Amino acid sequence: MRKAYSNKAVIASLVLPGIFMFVFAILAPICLSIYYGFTNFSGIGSFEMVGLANYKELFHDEAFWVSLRNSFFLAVGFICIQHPLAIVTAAVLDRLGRRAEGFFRCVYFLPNVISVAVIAYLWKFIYNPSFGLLNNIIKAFGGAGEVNWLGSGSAIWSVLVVLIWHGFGWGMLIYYTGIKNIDPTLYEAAAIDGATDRVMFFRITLPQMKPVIQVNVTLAIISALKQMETVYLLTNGGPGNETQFMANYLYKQAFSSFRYGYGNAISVVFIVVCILATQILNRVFREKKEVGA
Amino acid sequence: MKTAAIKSIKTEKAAEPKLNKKKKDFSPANIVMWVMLVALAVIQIFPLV
Repeated sequence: MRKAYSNKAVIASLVLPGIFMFVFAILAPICLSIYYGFTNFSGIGSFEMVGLANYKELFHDEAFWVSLRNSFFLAVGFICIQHPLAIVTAAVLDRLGRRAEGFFRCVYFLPNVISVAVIAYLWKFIYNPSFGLLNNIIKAFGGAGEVNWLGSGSAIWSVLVVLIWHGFGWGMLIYYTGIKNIDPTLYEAAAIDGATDRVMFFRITLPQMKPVIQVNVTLAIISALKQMETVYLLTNGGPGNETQFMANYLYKQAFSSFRYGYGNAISVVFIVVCILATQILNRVFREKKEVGA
Repeated sequence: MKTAAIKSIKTEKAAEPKLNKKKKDFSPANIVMWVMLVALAVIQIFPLV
């Protein structure tokens, strides 16, 4: 076996399929994107090289900055609302008995099982100003019930609620498995020392969960930046560009406005933003690790 | 002697489940915890119903 692994032909046969897939499915599209970002390609027919014109236009494009701001707003929403709630819920679930634990785990994860398209249309009905569920609930409690949830000013919050609601189960499940992997003897030792539940959560659960939190927060930020399907089906960036997100704006420019070159320039900036965000997060967590060590 | 010993073991065993039975916790923290869990469950499931 050892001999086989030292054979270069065997090594190449094992590594090459992976490299081939990476080059043709990831690297080549990225290189093509960078190339098309310097052209005025519409998606059909001939095109010309325009240099940095797309990027210059991008930096003066108000809709692009709105979409970038909304993506970061969503990321902040995920980090400040969804994830603290998910960690606390996972910690509480861990303390419950078998039946209740299984039941709540199932219920919380349920929205994740349903297709994004169904979720988007479902919430479109819930938010409907004339016959929507939310307005009917307000009416039942004596209110006017004439709120335009997807109108100007409130649309971004409504989208945020849907996305937090939809992603909550997934985040909670990752934290839950992280908590389940913590050595129970730590809790036992703390209990003998007279530690309360709160102390155990802050002194054992959270420090032990640091790698899980790092992965989950990174995933949340990337998911916020590449948010597309729900927004596309729920508001399509409207009213105006109020709920425009980077991935949706990219799609709109490339395939609806037939500005494929411009769309590719957005995608290049999008990749750079994703890499920067991941690097910043890695640095934040690394610094904390060094301080904690 | 033997029967007395067996009897004492039996009574001990009979008493065991009662000792192990968890008392229901009605402390405010526990109530808040359950309210939070149920509220979250309602929020998660209500739009789907």
